[in-house]
Order: sequence, then structure tokens, then C-alpha cells
Amino acid sequence: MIALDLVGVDKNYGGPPVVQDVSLSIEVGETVAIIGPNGAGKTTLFGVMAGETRATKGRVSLFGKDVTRAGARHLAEQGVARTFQVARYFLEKTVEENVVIARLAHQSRYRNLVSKSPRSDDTVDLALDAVGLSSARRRPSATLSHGDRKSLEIAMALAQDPSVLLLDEPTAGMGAEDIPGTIELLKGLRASRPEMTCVITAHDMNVVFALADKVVLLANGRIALQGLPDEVRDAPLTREIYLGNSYREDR
Amino acid sequence: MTTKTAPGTVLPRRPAPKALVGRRAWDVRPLYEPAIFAVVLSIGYFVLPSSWQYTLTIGVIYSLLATSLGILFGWTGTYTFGHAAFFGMGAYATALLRTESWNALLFLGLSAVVAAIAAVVIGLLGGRLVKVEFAMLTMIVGQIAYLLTFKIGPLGGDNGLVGITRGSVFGFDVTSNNSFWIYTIVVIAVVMGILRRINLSSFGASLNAIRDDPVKAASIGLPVKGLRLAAFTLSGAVAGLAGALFAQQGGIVTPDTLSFTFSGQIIIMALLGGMYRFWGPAIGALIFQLLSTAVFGNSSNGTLYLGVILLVVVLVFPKGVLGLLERLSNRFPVLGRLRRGRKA
Repeated sequence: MIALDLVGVDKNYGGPPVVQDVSLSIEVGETVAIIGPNGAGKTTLFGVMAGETRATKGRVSLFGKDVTRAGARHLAEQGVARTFQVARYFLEKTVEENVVIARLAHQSRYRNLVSKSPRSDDTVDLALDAVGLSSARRRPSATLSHGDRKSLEIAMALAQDPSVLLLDEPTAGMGAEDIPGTIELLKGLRASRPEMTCVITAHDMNVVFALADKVVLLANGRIALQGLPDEVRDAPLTREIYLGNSYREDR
Repeated sequence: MTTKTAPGTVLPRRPAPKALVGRRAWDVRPLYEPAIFAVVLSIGYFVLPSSWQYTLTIGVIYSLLATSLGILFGWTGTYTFGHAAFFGMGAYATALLRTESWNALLFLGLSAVVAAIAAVVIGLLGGRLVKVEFAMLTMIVGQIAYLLTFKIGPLGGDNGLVGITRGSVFGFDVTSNNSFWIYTIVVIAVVMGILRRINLSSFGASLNAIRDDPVKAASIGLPVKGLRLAAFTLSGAVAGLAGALFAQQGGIVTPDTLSFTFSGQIIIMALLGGMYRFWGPAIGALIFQLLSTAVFGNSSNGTLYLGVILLVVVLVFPKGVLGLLERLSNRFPVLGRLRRGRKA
């Protein structure tokens, strides 16, 4: 079954198209990595998938339902959760409160004027456990390290019981020593939630090849190549437009 | 860096710390905080010389008004430069109905409804606008409302409307100053309690999320526009209710209640106390009122002195008086205990 289906998606911001004629089918439970040089349109395409950017042309469906015109909020209700390249969360709140808010948004409890203060539940606890932030739950989120901010965003996404998880550059800006931990974390998530579909954009090829079932190479807003990770890595085209000739097998 | 546990590891559940997010069975802050507010001010009212009574009565009404502004500025991160319009609408609604001899509370309710309806209309008009654009819209609408009070005959023009009575509540006469104080402080304490409850609810937490990052809020599924509209409506209703109390208190309403100048003063009151704490705007309004009438009221340069004080406040402690308390509490733990109860 197809989780996320893009057909002939174009996007321009009034000027030349940033994304052109992108068609992409992502199966349920699959992990797809989108790679490409800067300016290739990865972030825009990601925005289209998350409902933050509206496609100028083409169709986006989620589990067979047309969501081309649905906004970010409606997609979130349909089970799409995302993280941002620069982690976004609620700075004034503690780690736990951030995850609790994501949880209450998912449960549509924002309408509730009278209830007790938002509470933690098992899903919140599990999300914090899954990213290893249980012991930091009461810390002000603004004091977290860069890597932990990224983890917090993932915990917020998990609190929404996502059926599709979009990870925009999960290791961007991380020190080399933190990257293996994040890869392990994401691998663990994949293993514990086989039904969850995952889309990742990444610059770090270690992340891509460790996690992806399928790799999509984007160049100048178009899909230049897509296939199994090894196929894409070994294709001359990938070397030419992205990895560069200095990228070697023995990384 | 925090110690990471292996992915998927389930940690043994520790006993929940006391102040953990909403683990308590029932949050009692909405009950005791307004009670303390009402009792302390009532002691002041009855102990201080009677010349303070007027100042305190207006002060608590402004407290409610400034709190209604805090719903927008502090809780939601929505800015408005025309907040006096709702206060004025509430005051005029009560004034127009002055010949009716209803329960005094009914006037408050009707004024709140009138202001809430106006807020819904303005909120819908400005649904696509954010930040300064929306603030400009509220300013323009506020100015239009102000000018209309001169143009519409039944509103009395420059002279406003006089002869508003305080009436009675369930048979209790509230026309005397002392009985009116009790009526006012009880109404305000109840409304503040309700607002505190809302502030601490899931709805309140969602508003904070929108304030901190609207893009993230939408991406986790919060209806940003809808919640902003709800906050604007709630804020308008509370301001309208405060306006009705103001009309009952003075027996007169004038176009000044809707003026741009007054809108600015409401912002100053809230800033003075601190926007980001629930009680900040209320305390700021009281300080503003005490300074402007009781302390500098008799001086010909009073406004100037007040201006200088406000300038210092804004420059030296931008988070207001409660923000200052918070800073001090890092040095003096006793204050810290005081403050934690106030955290919005």
C-alpha cells in the first residue's frame, strides 16, 4: 500500500520552478531518503509533503486521500509528523511540556478550557524514553544541547503517533561524535515501528545509507535518479552532481 | 549533553516529582490566587484612608482590563493597539441600557457579549494578518469606534452618557462605595479565577505554543488561526466586562474610554507588571493606577514623572515587576518560593 504519493508536483514562488514534475510513491513502512546538492529543492519538496507549502501543480495523496490543498495542521491530524532542519520547539517550556503539547495537539485537546493542566501520559513517557531524554524531562528546553534539541523534536513527533514521519536533516549541525548515536536512535525507531513510513533529507551519507530503503536524488528541482541506496551511490550521475569525485567507497 | 539511554530502553518509572506537568490531581492556583488578590486589596481598601478608595476601585477594574490584554500579548503573542475599543464598547453597552433596572450582573454579561461579538468580527477580518499588521488593524478599528462615539447621536458625543446606576445584585444594593467595592472585587476575583483556570488548561498551553512558534504549532496540528480568534474573543469579552464595571463605578462614560491614548496606557500597565506572568498585567495596572493618581496626581508634573518611571521600567527590567522579582529570587530563595506560585 502506498503511504505518500506525489504525482507531477511543481512548485514555484512566482519565479522559476523550485520543484518540477516530481512523482514519487512511498510505500507504507518504507524509509526514503532525499538527497541532492544545496538548492536542489529538497526543503521545498519536504514542505509540500508536510503541507506547509502548497504545490503549484500536481497531486499529493496520503493513504489514497487527496491532500494537495490540506494545510500542515490537517496533515498533522492525518498522522504526518515532521521535524525541522533547525529544531523547532517551544523554548519557554520544559522538555516534558513540549512533548505534552505535541500530544495534546494530536488528541485535539486544545479546545479544552477547563480540564486540569495538560498531563503526561504513557505515550509521552515512551516518546521521551525512546530518544533518551527521560532524565532531562524537567529541564527547560532552552538549555538543551544541539543534539538533544533534535532528539526532543523527534520525541514530539513520536507523541503524535505518526504514520508518516518526515525528518529534515536529522543530523544537521551535529558534532561527528553525536551522529552515530542519532543513527542508532533512528534505526531503533524503525525497528520498533515497522508500520511507520519515513522520509529523510540528509547531507550526511552515513545517515542515508544506514537508514534508507530507497534513495531519491534531486537536482535542479527534478528527480535525477531514484533506486536502492547502493544503486544510487554507485551511479556515475550521483558522483557527478552530488557526491563529487572525491567521495570514495571506503568512506 | 544529557546521558543518552539506548533506544527503546524502558527506564524504571521513578516516583513522579511533585511539580511535574499536571500530575497533581487538581491545580488549586485558580482558587487561592484570586482569593489572596481580593483579600489583600480589600484589606487595603478598608484600612487605608478613604481617599484611596476611588484609586483602588479603578485600579482593580484596570487590573482585569490589563489581564485581558495579557491574554493576547502574554499568552498568545498576538498584538493589539486598539484594546480600549472593547473596554469602551462594554462601557457604552451598559450606559445605553442605563434606564433598565436589571440585576447589575446582567449588564456585565451583556457588555461582555457585545464586546465578544465585536472581537469575533475584527478577529475574522484580520484572520490572515499577524503581528504588526494585525495590531495596525486593531488600531484602525479602535479609532473608527472612537470617532463613531462622536458621530452617533444616542452615544452623546463629547459629553458621553451620564446617569448610569450601580443598581443591585440579587436584591443587595451596591450603590454605596463600600458595597460597590465588595461587588467589584468579588466579580473580578471570580473572573480572574476562571481566567487562571483557562490559562493553566490545555487551551492555555496551546496558546503559549502559538506564541512561542506558530509554524511548529501548526505542524503538530494546532489550529493556529482558530486559537488566535478564540483568544481574541475571550480577551474582548473580558475587556467589555471591565468596561461595564467602569461605567457602573463612575456613572458616566465618555469617548476617552475608547481612545488610542487609553489603549496605549493599557499596554503600559501590562508591561509594567510583566506580560508573561498571569498576574503581571494585573499587578502592573494597580501600580500604574497608584502612581498616576495617588502619588503624582496632585503634582503638575505628574505625567512627566510617571513617564520617566515607565521609561526606566521598560529599559531596566523589560519583563516587568514580576520579571524583576524573578531575577531577585535567583539571589534570594525566599522570593523564589513566592514567585513559583505566580508562574503563568
